[in-house]
Amino acid sequence: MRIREKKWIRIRIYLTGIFFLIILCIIFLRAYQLQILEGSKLSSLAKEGYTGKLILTSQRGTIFDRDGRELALSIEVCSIYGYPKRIEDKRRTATLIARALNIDKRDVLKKLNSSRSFVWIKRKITPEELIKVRELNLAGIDFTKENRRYYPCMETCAHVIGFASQDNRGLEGIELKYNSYLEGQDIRLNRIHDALGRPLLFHGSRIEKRDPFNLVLTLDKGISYKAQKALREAVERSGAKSGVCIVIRPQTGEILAMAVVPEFNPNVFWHFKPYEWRNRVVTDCFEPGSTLKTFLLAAALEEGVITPETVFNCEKGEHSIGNFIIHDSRPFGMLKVSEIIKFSSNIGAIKIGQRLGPGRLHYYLQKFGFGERTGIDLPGERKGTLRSTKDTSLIGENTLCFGQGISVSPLQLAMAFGAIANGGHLMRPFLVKSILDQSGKAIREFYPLVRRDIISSETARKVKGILEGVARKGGTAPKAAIMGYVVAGKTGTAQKVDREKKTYSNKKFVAIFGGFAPSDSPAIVILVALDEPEGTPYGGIVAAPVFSDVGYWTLNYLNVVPSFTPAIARNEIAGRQNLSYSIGKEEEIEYLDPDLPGSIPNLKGLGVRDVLGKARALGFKVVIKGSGRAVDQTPAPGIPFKKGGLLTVTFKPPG
Amino acid sequence: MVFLFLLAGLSHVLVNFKRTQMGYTLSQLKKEILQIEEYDRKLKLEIAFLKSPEHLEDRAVKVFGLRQPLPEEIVFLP
Repeated sequence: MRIREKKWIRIRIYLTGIFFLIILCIIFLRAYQLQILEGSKLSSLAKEGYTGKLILTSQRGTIFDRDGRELALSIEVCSIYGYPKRIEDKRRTATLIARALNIDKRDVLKKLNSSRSFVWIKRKITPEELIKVRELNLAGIDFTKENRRYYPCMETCAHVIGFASQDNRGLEGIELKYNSYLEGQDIRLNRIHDALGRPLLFHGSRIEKRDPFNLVLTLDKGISYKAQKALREAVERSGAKSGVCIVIRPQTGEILAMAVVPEFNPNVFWHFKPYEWRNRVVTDCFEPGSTLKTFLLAAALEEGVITPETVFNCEKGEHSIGNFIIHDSRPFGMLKVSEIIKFSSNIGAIKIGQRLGPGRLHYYLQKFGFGERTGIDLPGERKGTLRSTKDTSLIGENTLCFGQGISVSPLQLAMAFGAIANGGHLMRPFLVKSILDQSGKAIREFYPLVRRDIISSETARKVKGILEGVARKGGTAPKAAIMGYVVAGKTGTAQKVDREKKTYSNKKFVAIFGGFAPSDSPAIVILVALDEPEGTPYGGIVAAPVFSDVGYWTLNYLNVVPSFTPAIARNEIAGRQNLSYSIGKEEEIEYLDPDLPGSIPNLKGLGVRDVLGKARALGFKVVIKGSGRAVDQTPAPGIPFKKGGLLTVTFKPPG
Repeated sequence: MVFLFLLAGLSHVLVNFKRTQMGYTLSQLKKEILQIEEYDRKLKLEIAFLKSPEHLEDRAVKVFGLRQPLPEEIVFLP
């Protein structure tokens, strides 16, 4: 019995041992499974339970003007999105959201009915909209934070700065050109949170970020605003299709203002059409018209083929080249070079061009930067057209002297005027002064760059002296005068090409005025161009007042001391009562191109019937003296006429 | 010996507890910094809008009745 009992006890011990051994084996196997086989998977599962990533959306760098005033900056705003599959009553949800956000209910419903698992309802909403939607407490609707770009100056500088997309990528202007600097990266914060989801930031957390850079521009917010406002008013007054106004520092090539009309508000750029976004200062080219005479004059003086006192015969307003007849605004006789520029004689310009020679003219126009890009830091710049002398006909060589057969961008023209103003150096225009990091330290700075020297300072001085006559009484642009300062500049009224008729249009023009002030030590260069003004199209009437208005304001703003006292200035600009002019008033410009509308045509050589027909069409009365062909007329051709005015024409029998 | 082990264990628990508390405070402060920075940016935007030339001109003309000075009214200081 005792032996049997002992045996049984031993068996029980063995059984217990085996049982524990099996349990131990199971534990070991389970441990092996958890730690070795599924270890990495389970540890990552556990980590997900107590760690997370906090993603802060990327900021975009701020754009400042030259005085550190914000032109573009980003702030955080909320966006609303939805999970369509989690929304039960989609119609009700759409109605409530549409009412709160003041958007179309059908659009919201269409989004909620889509098969996608995630849809944006409205991005970058206002704080008021956020409160309204949050109060609705709708299932399947949530919010996230994004950065929105704001442009506090709205239309001012809009074409230069451009704009960024909803996803914070630059799409136009400086925003596009310097996108790599302005764009920041998303900030990721690795965090640990507790069972309730409260974040715990430990020393182990890591921040990965690359701050965006800020830009400091050469633009001045005040001058840009003035230029934009004056240009907008001029475009409205004249009924022009578009207009540009550029203000630059001639010594450095810094752009102080670049105004374009039609304008757009970059805060809501999607409400405007792409042609309104276009920066016409660099993308649009036109024939410079008589403004080109400035550079012809500079070239001829530099080459020593003329002096300001050289006299040319302007052939009483008619000059034949092959089968073509070139007209002048009035029948000029012998004119000095300075008078050719002052009265803008086309025939005089041709005579200067013939003495200079087409090859040398072409060489100098190239040196002034025509036909090549200026190198400005903006996207989409065009280089215009300057045909080689080989490809130019005889008439083309001659008409080039008064700005036909060449196309230039407003910026090229402004920089060329800048070269006259600064003593003969062609500068590279630039818009960005420096790139700063978030601590304000400059990581890159931009300095003025002389592209080339074109003419001597002595020649530039002579050209300035001649250009001063243009803005004086008797010149083509007394309206360009700036009270207290001596202005040097040149008008241009360029005929546009009629693409259907393949000739120059008599109805479409570009009115231009380019110049600088004060003439003896120029502080600013301003170029104004208005495309297709209605009615009177002359640069001296339409564009020159913008020059004067912007110039007066800017010179005061820059604290440029006037050259002479206001009392003298008032005598200098006789009859001028205020700084703004209205188009259509009796002008001080006496002689205009007789081929242009608004001026009395050249009636010489016409019969009585033709003269009466023209007079009826233009709406003035005619006094007929004699018979035969018209030999004389009063007033002379080119004078702006008023409807109902009186015109006396003297006729003589032929032979 | 047992007492020393007990003391070390208690110290370890205390340090961990403090570290957790500090973690909560730190994360709260970081959140506040981000909020203040964002608030600062919003105020800067508002200042920029208020200081835009268009707004200033509008206020100057309509509220204060200012106008552009005539040339003889401008005094240049040496």
